[in-house]
Amino acid sequence: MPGLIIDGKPVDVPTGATVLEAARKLGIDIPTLCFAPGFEAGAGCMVCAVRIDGKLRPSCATVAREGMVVESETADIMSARRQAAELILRHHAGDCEAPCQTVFPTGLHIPAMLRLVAAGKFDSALELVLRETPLLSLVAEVEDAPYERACRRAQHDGAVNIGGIVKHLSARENQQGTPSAPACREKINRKALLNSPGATGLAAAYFLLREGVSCAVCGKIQELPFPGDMAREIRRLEQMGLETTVGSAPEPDVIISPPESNPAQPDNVFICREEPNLFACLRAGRKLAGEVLRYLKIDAGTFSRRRSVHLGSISPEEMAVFLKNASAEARTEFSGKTAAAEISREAKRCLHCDCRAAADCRLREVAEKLGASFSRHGDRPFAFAVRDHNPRIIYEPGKCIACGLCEKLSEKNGVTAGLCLVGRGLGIKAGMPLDDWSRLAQLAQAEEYARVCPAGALALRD
Amino acid sequence: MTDNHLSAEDSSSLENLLAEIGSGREAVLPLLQAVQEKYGYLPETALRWLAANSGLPETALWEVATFYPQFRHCPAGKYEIHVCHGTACHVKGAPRISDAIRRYLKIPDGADTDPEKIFTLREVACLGCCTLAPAMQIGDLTFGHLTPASIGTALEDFLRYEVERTNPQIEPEVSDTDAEIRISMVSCCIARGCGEVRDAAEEFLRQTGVRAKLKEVGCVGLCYQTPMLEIISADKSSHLYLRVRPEDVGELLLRHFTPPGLLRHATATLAVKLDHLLGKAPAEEKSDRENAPGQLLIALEDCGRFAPCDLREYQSGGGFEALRKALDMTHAEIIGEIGTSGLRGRGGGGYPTAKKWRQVRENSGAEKYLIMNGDEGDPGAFMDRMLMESYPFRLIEGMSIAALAVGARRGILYIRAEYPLAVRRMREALRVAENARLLGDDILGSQFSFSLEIRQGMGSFVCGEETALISSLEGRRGFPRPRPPYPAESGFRNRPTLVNNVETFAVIPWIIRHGGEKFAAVGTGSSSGTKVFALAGRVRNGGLIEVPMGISVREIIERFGGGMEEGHALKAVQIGGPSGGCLPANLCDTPVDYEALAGTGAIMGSGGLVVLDERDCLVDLARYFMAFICQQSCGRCVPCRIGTGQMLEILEKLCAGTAREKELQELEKLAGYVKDASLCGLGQTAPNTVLTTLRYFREEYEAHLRGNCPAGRCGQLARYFITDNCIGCTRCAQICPVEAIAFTPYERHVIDQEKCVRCGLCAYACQAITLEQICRD
Ligand SMILES: Cc1cc2nc3c(=O)[nH]c(=O)nc-3n(C[C@H](O)[C@H](O)[C@H](O)COP(=O)(O)O)c2cc1C
Ligand code: SF4
Ligand code: SF4
Ligand code: SF4
Ligand code: SF4
Ligand code: FES
Ligand code: FES
Ligand code: FES
Repeated sequence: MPGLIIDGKPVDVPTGATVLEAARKLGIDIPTLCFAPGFEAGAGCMVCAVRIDGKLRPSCATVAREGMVVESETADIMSARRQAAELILRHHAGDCEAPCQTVFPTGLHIPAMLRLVAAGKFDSALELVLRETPLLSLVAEVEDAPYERACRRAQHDGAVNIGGIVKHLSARENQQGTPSAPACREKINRKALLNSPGATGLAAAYFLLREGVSCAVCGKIQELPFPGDMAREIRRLEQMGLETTVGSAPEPDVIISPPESNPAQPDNVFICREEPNLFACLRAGRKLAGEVLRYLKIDAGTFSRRRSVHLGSISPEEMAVFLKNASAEARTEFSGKTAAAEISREAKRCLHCDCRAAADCRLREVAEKLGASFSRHGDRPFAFAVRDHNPRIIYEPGKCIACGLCEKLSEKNGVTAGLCLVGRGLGIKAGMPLDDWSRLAQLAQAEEYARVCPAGALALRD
Repeated sequence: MTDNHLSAEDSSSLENLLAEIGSGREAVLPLLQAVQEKYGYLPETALRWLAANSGLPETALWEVATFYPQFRHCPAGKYEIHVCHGTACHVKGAPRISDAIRRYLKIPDGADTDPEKIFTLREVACLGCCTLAPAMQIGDLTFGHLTPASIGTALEDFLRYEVERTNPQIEPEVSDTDAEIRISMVSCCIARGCGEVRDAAEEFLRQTGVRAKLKEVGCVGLCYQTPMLEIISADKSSHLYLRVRPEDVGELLLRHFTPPGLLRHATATLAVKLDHLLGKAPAEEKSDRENAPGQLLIALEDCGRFAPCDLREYQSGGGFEALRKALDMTHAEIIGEIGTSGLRGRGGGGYPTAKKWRQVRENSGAEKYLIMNGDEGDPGAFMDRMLMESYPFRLIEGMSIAALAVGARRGILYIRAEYPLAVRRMREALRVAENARLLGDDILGSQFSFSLEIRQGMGSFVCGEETALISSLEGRRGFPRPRPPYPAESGFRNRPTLVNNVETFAVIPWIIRHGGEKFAAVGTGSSSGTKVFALAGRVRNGGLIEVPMGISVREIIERFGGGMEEGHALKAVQIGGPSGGCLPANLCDTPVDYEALAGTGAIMGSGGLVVLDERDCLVDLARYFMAFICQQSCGRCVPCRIGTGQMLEILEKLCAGTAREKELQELEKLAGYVKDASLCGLGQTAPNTVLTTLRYFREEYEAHLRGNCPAGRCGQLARYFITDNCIGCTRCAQICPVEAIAFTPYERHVIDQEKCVRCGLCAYACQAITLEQICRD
C-alpha cells in the first residue's frame, strides 16, 4: 500500500495503482483522453500530466510509489494540459458545429433540423427549432436568412434553403392555431422581473422560462420594429408561463431593465440592451439569460454556448467528401404552395457538416474545461476525410488523435484485421491493415469502437 | 504482383523463412526484414501470405511495417542512391545534392525512383565519411565532395563501374612471415579509396612474389588521412604512409620489400620508372599515433593493428585476458572495479555504469537480458559503427564481462540497419568466438554461460532510446514506454535488462585489465576516462578521435582537427547531435565533461561534434535538426508529435523570411513545453538546439525576422546574381537546369529570378555569379 502526497494531501493506494487513480481517490479531477479503464495506459495525450520530481509525467501511466510527491493543480500544470489540448485541436480536421449552426444567433442545430425535415419528420423538426428559437414568427420573416451565407454548400452550388425551411416550419405551426411552446423545466422558486422588455428581453425571458425561472413583465412590452406575428409570440411566452399583466411582483430575485432606468445598479439588476437587428437581439437575449442563470446558480450545463473547432476553408477534394452524402440537386426556392416532399428534398442537400460526436466528445469537453483555444492558425496538415464502409460506424481520420484505444480494443477482442495505429510521428493514425478499407465493413462491435474513441473519429452512423 | 496469390516457389521460400525465423510476436520485425530482403520491398501478397500462414495478426504486421521508415511498400529502382543528409553533409550542402539528383534523373515530385526504375533516391543519416562531405553511396561505392555539377559524372562512373565490377574478397591469409601490409578497411576508409589501394597492393604481391600478409585492419583513428598504408617489414619495423593513392602503392612497397628471384629485374625497372615520380608518393610518417600528446587510446586501443575478425591477433594483444580475470572475480568485485573507474554510459545520458549494473544484479529473477545498443541514430556520428566494424571481439568481451557481473545468460546486439559491414563483422566474430568456446556454455572452462544474437533496426532513431528499443525487439512499433519501470527492473520480456552503449562495452575490458583507478586517473572528477568523438564540419582534419575527458572543445579543434579551414573563423560547435546544442565560440573553452556541457545547455551526447564557421546559419541548423526530429518522432505523445511539428513550421517560416515576432515567441514557448512534457528523451531533448541557438545567437533569429540570413544560407532569402564580370561565355546558360538564364553569347547574362530554383549550379560554373541577400527593408 504505497502512500503518496498529491497537492499536499496524503493518500494510500493499492500496490500497482496509478497516480491518476490515487488522485481520483482524493477527488482531484485530472482530465484524460487516451486512457480508458481496462486498457493499458496510453501515455500519449498528456492532458493528464502531473509534476513529479520536477518533471511532467502522464499520471495515467505512472505507478504510484511510496513517498511520491505529486503536484496536480498548479497554474503551470494547467497550462501544460491546456497546451496539449490546443496542439491536438490545431491538427484536428473537423467541425464540432456546422458553420450554419455557429452563425445562427441562438445556435440552432440546423443540420439536425434538416435531417428531420429530410426524413419527413416535420413535427419533430419544429419541436427542435422551438427549443432553441425565441420569436420564431419574427425569425421566419427576416429577409434573406443571413445564416445561409455561412452554409458550406454555398461554396459549391448555392446554400441549402434553410430560411425557406424555417419559414415553412413556422407557417406549419401557424396553421395549427394555438402556438406550441417548447418543453420547460419544472418551475423552481426563482423570479425575474422584466422592465419594459423588447426583443432582447423577451428572448432572455424565453430561455429563462425554459430553464424553470418564473418571469413577469412590468411596464409595457415595447413595440418591435421587426415584421412578424408579435401577438402570437407573446401568447407563446404566456403559455410558457410569462406573466404579462403586472400584479404584485413580490421581491424578484433579479430585475432585467433597459440601460437608462437603473442608475444605481445593485448586482441583481441586469442591463438589457435592445438592438436594431433582430438576430443581435436574440444573441444578446440568450447571453443575458445565461448570465442570470449563472447569477442564480442554476445548473444549466448545456446552456452556455459550447466552443467548436472549425475546418475553415476546404479544398475541392474535401468538398467532394462532403458531397458524397448529400443530394446532387440544385437549390430550390419555395413558395407558399411548395409541397412537403419538395421541402424534404431540399433538406437532403445538407452536407451534414456537424460532428456526430459533438454532444459527447471527450476531446471537446476536456479542451473546453481546460480553457483551450479552439482557433487554429496556419495550415491544417490533415484533410477532412470519411471512411464509411461500415454500415454502422463512420471513421473520420482527420479527427483521430492517435490515442491507440481502438487498436487496443482490436487486440483485446482478438480482431486480427481490425483498426490499428498506422504509420509514425505526425502521420500516425488509426487505419486498417494493408490499407484494406473494404474490411472495415465487416468490423463488428461498432458500439464498442465508437464508445472507446475519445473524439468523434469513430462514431455510430446515426 | 497484382494478383492475390504467390507463386509456388515464392510461398515455399516464405515457408522456409517462417521455419527459420519463427512466427511469434518477436519475429515480426525479422520476418518483414527478410521479406524486404527478398523482394526489395514488402509486396502486399507476401504480407497476406504471412498473415494467413504465420498466425500473426495482420494488425501486428501492419503496425510494424508502417512504423519503420526503411520498409518500402512499392518496388524500388535497381540501385539505391543513399545521399547523406547527416549533419556534416547538411552543413556542406546535402539538400542541393538531392535536388540536383532529382533533376538529373527526372524523379517526379513526391516519388523516390526515376521513371526508368534504375535509381531510387534515399536520404540517409551519416554515412560515416563526414570528411568527404557532402557524400553519397550507391551500392558499395561512395562518392564524396559532391557538387550539384558533379552528380552526372558520379552517376555515369557508377554505371560504368557496375559493368566492369569484379569484387575480390580477400580473407586475411596466414603466412610464415612477420611482414605485413595493413590497410584500414572501415566504411569511411573504404569510402576514401582504401579498396583501390588494397587491390593495388594485392596486385603487387601477386606480380612480384613478395611474401607479406595483406591485412585489412579496423579504424586507425586517422580518418581524414586515409587511405593509410602501414608496412611492417620483416624486421618488424613499422612504416606508415598516409593519403596513399593506388598508383603509389608499388613504389612504397618496393621501399621495404625486395622481390625474390626472377622478378627482381622487372621490378627494378619499375622502381626506376617510379623514381621519376618520386616526391609525389607520400613520405613516411612517424608512427606516433599513440604518443600523440594527450591521446590515450582505450576504446580505440590497438587501432589499425589488427584484422577485425582475427581472434588470434586480438588475443595476442591481450584480448580475453580481462574476461579470464573477471571469471576469477566475484560479481561484486567486477562491479566495484567499474565503480572505481567512474565510467558513465557513453550512449548520451551519462548514467553511472556500475550503478546500472548493480540494479540489474540486485533485481531478482532467473532470467535476465543484456542488450548492446548499437542503433547509433545521431545523423552526424559514426563512432559506434567504427567500434563494431573494427573491434568486434572487444565488444564481445565487454558484454561477456557485463553479463557475468549482472547475471545475464543471453544478450542481444541491436544494430542499426544501415550498418551492413558492422553486422557482417559482428556476425563473423560471434561465429569465431563460439567456435573458440568464448561464447556459449561453460566459457573458458568456467560455469559461466552466455550467448549472443544479432538483431537489426530498421531506420528509426527513436529505437536508440532504450525502452523503444525493447518494444522493437518485442515485435512492436518502436514506442518508448514510460519510465519507471526502468529496463533494469523490467525490460525485455518484462525481465531485468541491462542496456549499454557500444562504447561503454568497448572500454570494459581495458578497465578490468588495467584496473578502475587507472581509468579514473584520466579526465575530470565526475567524468572519467576518454570519449570518442566524430569530428566533422569546418575543420581541416575530420574523423574519429578519442580524447581524454576534461579537454576543452577548442583544444579538440586545434589539436585534433588541425584548426579551422583556411581563412575561416570558428563560430560555434554543435555537440551531441539532435539532442545536443550549440556552443558559441566564446564558450568553446568549456571542458568535455557531462556537467560542464550540460551547464551550457548542450549535452555530451553520443559524440557528434560539428564545427561551424561564419558560412553556417544557425537558424538553418536548428531547422535541420527539427526536421530530423519530426521525421523521427514516434508519434506516441502529443508534445513531441505535434509540438515539434509546430516548431518546425515556425523554423521553416524563419528560413523563408516570413515569420513574425509573435511566432518567435511561440517557438520559444513551445520549446519549453516540448522539453518539459514529452514522454521520452527524444522529445525532452529535441528543443535543445533551438534553445541554445536562441540563447547564444538570438540576433541571427531576429535578422531572419527582417528577412535577412547573415550567413547567406537560407536559399529563399538570397538569390543568385550575375555581376559585371560576365563575359558572355554562356556556360551558365548551358548548365542551368531550369532555363532561368537566357542564352545570349557575348552579352551579359541575366538570371530570371522567377524561374531560378537556387540550385547554385551556375555559381559553380562561373566566378561571375554570386549569392546576394534579399533584404526586405
Ligand atoms: C532518442 C534517443 C536516442 C538514443 N539513441 C541511442 C543510441 O543510438 N545509442 C545508444 O547507445 N544510446 C542511445 N540512447 C540512450 C539509451 O536510451 C540508453 O540510455 C543507453 O543505450 C544506455 O547505455 P549507456 O548507459 O551505456 O549510455 C538514446 C536515447 C534517446 C532518448
Ligand atoms: S471529434 Fe470532438 S472536437 Fe472533433 S469535431 Fe467532433 S466534437 Fe469537435
Ligand atoms: S451544408 Fe448543412 S450543415 Fe453544412 S453549413 Fe450548410 S446547412 Fe449547415
Ligand atoms: S480512431 Fe482510434 S486512435 Fe483515433 S482517436 Fe479514435 S480510438 Fe483513438
Ligand atoms: S517524446 Fe516523441 S519519440 Fe518520445 S514518446 Fe513522445 S512522441 Fe515518441
Ligand atoms: S496521457 Fe494520460 S490520459 Fe492521455
Ligand atoms: S557522411 Fe554525411 S554527415 Fe557523416
Ligand atoms: S580511419 Fe577509417 S574509420 Fe577511422
